[in-house]
Amino acid sequence: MTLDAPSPDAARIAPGTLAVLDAALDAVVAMDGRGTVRFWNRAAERIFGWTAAQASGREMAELIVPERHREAHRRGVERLVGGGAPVLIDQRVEIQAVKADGSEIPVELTVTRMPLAEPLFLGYVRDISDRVAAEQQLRESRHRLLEAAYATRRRFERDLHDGAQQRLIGTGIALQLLRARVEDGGELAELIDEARAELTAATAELRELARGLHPAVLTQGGLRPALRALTGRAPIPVSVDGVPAGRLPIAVETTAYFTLAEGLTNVARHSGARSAAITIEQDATLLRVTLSDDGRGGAVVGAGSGLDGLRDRALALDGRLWVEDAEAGGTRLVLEVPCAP
Amino acid sequence: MRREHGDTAAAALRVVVADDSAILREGAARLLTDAGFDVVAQAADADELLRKVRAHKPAVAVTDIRMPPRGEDDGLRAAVRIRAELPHVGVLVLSQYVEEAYVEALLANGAEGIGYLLKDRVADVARFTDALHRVAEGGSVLDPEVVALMMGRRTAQDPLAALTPREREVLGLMAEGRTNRAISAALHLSERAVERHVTAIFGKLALDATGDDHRRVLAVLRYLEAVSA
Repeated sequence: MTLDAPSPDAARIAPGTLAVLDAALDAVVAMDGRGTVRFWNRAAERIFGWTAAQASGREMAELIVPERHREAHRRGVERLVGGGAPVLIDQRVEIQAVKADGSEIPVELTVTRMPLAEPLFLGYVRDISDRVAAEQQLRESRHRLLEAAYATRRRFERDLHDGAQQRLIGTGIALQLLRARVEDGGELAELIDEARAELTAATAELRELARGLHPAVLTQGGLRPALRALTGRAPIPVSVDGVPAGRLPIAVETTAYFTLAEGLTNVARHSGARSAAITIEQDATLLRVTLSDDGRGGAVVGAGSGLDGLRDRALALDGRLWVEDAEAGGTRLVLEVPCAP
Repeated sequence: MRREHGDTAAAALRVVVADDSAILREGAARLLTDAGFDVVAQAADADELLRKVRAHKPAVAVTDIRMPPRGEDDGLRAAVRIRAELPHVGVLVLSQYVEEAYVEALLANGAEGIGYLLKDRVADVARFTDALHRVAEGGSVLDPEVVALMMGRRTAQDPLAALTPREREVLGLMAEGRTNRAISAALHLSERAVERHVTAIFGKLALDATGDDHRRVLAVLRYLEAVSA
């Protein structure tokens, strides 16, 4: 701990106060109007790697502000001292700070101005490396879980295609061969025909199930053919615009596809719309997928609308999903996900 | 060769069958052999299919879409290639799913000698063998589900708006590859009535008077183009 009084005012800070600041778990540092360090508690020593003796009298900017931000920091101090509008004062911000060894850490910073005649600024700095790392881990694991869920669905679809579906068709062929060896009209022929009819129905059901898991055409051809197939099955006309010609990351394609599939189901079920439009826009960082309809509007995410799960998927991709009433009437469902072209 | 069923009078149609599932490949081959076809070779992947088709030059190559080596639409790509390389070999593509994208890729350079059926139709031997014959003769066959999907697509500007419901039905059956006679039987109409409908469809879809068979294919293609625009 060090606090060399820049003025008689500063000396009026009670020694007890300094002891409290010194014992704080967050770094507490003080800087005068010239930007020079006047106080450096024990937590600051631990977090930044400079002892109070080393820090005292040095410029704050040089010690803990990353080089790229130093000029802005100096201008900010000048402006404050000159009576300009405060920018950082009395609010919590998350910024990068630099340590004695040159490495950077994320910190949460609050700056207050002491009510003294001479300018004295106190900075409370919390090292949030652990929290930032945990958040990053959470984001990454959430993303991986989504990818894993999609991969599982793709695998189920493939297993059904290569396994059960093929076997059922094989069984159908065997029944056909058997049927050809049985006279028409008898009970046996009738039983075989019944079995074949059941088998045909089972095959059709399994096909729909597999398509719902993950359409093979999405894996093979991407959004363009998959959306053609999707809109072709819709009960109202759906126009499609702006689908990227190239392929997108598989999790993005899949999320966009299922969002639109669920959205179209909702439009058909609840909106009373006569037509709908899918628009896809892509800029340098973002893919925006919009489904608009000309129905009665008033749709919301939540309330078990089926959009909850889709919003979670959007969040897992660091994106977002919402519904809104369009000015011209009808509903707009919007999905935005980070995605470079 | 067993010939318990089917037409044994004409020379047996030579067929190559490709599917990565041995059960299905063998089953289909057996079915076809029983029905009087000559299954000259079988293939378990798209590369083998191309090799065997080039070697045997069959009347028709029957192939699954999703096959090795990539396990994607390899069979479809092989089929397109066969049509481009060997105009006298028809292709009948079997698919687990009805996908417009597959149909478009397949018909991109014309519909002659091309068929697209859902895989489970194989077990319906009459339909399957009928499709093979028509493809071998240079005709085209689309699965009823493809036709239903395409005719059912709701578009803002319906290219078929000018057609009567009956004409739509007739166009649908034409797209499945049926002859006027087959259409008249299916719809309980006289053949003359079917002919009148077909002429009306050609007129309304603005198709020039060329060979009738070709126009039938064109009518379907015109429709496919219209809905995929």
